[in-house]
Amino acid sequence: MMSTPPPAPISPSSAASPAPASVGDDAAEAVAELSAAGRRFGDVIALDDISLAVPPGSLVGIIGPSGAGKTTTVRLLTGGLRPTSGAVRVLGEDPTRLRADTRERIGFMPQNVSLYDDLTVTENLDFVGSLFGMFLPRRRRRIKAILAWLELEDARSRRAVHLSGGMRRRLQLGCALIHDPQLVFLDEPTGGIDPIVRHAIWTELRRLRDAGRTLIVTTQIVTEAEECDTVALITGGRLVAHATPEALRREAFGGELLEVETSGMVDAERLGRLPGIDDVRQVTPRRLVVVARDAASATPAVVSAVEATGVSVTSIQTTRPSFDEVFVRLVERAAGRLPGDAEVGGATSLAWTEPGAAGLPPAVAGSGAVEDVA
Amino acid sequence: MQLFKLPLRILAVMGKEVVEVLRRPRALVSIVAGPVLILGLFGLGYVGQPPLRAELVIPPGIGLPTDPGSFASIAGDRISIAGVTPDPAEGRAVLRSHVADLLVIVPPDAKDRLAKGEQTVLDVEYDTVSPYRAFVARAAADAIVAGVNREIIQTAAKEAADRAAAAGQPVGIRPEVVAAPTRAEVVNLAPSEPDVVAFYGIMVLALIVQHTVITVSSLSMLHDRRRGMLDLFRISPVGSGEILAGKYAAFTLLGTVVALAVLAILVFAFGVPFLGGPGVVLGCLALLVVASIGIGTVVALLSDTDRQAIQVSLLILLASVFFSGLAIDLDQFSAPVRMIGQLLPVTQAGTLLQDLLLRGSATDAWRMAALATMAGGLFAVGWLILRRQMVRPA
Repeated sequence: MMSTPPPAPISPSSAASPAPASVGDDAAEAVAELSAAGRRFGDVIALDDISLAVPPGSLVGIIGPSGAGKTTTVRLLTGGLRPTSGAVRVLGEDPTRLRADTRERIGFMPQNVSLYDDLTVTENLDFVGSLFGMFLPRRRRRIKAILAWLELEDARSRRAVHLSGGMRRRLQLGCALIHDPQLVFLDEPTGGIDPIVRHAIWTELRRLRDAGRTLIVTTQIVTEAEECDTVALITGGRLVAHATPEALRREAFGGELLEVETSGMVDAERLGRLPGIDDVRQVTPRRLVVVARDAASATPAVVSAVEATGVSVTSIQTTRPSFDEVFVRLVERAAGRLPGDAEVGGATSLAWTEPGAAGLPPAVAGSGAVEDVA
Repeated sequence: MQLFKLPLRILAVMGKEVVEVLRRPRALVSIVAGPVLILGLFGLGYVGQPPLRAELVIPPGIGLPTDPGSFASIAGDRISIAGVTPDPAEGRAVLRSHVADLLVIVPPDAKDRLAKGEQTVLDVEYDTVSPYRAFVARAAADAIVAGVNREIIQTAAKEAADRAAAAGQPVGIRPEVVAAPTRAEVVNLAPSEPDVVAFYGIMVLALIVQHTVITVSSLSMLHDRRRGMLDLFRISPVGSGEILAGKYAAFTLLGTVVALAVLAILVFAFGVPFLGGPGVVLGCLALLVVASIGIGTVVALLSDTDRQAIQVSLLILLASVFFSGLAIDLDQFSAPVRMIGQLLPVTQAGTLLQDLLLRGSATDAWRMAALATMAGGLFAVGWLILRRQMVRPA
């Protein structure tokens, strides 16, 4: 699926060492940067005081619930909107006043499919390529490569109106990448695309990142956040988190989770006093969820502490909550719907507010590697 | 380098517009065949103003004939005699049943009054709510009265001449000359004398071209905006001037082809004279198309929805029908309304084309300059609005 070699190598200047994106990279090096940027529509605050610096060669995901401000963020970055406060810079310029040369280095895939229905697949690509100043020989080469990559070769002569939803989305993606841009904004590129093609697209986006391109991708499919180097979580117009997916997972639950099953009742408070343990939740008399700063190093201590009370550990496993759960948790916390959350030792700790699934993600019990120490 | 890319982008937009139009067969049919069909219907269906049908009420015993054919010379070409009746009530019934358009009632004492040297009043009645038909009826009444008067004078003069001849006196002026001392010999100095279809067909051509081009160009711009293409254009290196140049080039090409096709039908199928230079006629048509693209572009850029743009296009069509001189001569309007009419491309182009085709040259050369100014001005306005919408984001 979509295995054809991807778009041509980028220029030497932009191919420079794509270091993995990290939060807090020097803003001076950022290819896209929001500095305390805000956007109001009348009395409605669509974005509030967002600061985000995207280093070159990174794949940044912008996730958030519907209406959170993801598209507004992209529109600020692509010059479709002007911030009402703060500043936005893209490739060192004001995105509303980009020079033509700079524009040729930017690719954009809007949220809504923007294709000419009466043009064929090839003609749509050709048109966009021409707009970006590509002369015929280069256009032909790129169209061939893009069609192969997107598996649209058989549909090359089909009008866009006769394409399926997924094919239209793929063609749209091809239009955004036809001119081999260095900086790409993709507003929900995988919306309406089946999981197999979606996977292939993300594989290609990562490959583009590896080739030095910078990609800023919005998505409502939260699990796709794990495909990104860093994830900016926006909700209610505010940036509530920006970190690597793993760091977000830890932030959501205050650490790593250990699920412990015992042969008898264990004193949870005693376990909670162990070093490296931030919280312990007694789910059932014989089942505990332990929040540890480092699950691997905490496991022996937990086993020892349980067995010291004369109760044996029948199983202990680290659990890795899905990003859906991470997302819900972070969004609810940002919305103040988790009143029991508290800061413990600089890390956010879980405070289980009710028995059962409320504080415990549904997937906790069933996921992660199992380490049977019985 | 960007300079070399400018024509590339303009050609891309132009090619896209042309292909889009050609790919929509139904739209193509409505664009090309629609105007041709309308023009064909106009040409084939127009039969002109039929003669006004007059019913005469002639009382018995006054010496006037009762055979309708006897009044043919009085009625002339524009009036036909529907019938003659001695009863006014019967005549009114005929008028009310719309078998006749006009009722002329000769009073029973007409002969006596004439003999006494008194003026006789002919009652003329009509039954219509149409101001136009009322106007025609009044004109016809005047013509009938003039014809009747002429007949009476001629009859009287003939009787006098006969009496004079019988008395051996010399006959002076012939009775026909006494009845009609003068007559007009009318000569039209225009190089051609087209029929109604030829004359108005040219204006209809201009109207069709204007409306078609306004509709197509405004929908093109609206579709671009609705599809989110302005977002793509905004991030791409293409400028508002390049977008407009591409669209103008495409629609000028398509609009001029349509205009020439309709013109060919006018000339070859309906026999409209083509006395002017082909280059000037082509230039006039091209300016009409360019000015119409300008209107369509501005309408689209200022409209929020397709529906709004189409409504405005229809309003412009309506204004063009009323204020271009097509339906009613512009001289019949007050100065401010005439000014509105002059601001419509169809007014200038239609008048110019009538002159160019039927006279061979433009009587009012300033109209070409006015059309060019409209075309240039509307392009500038459209460019400024699009530039503002693209460069200055919301």
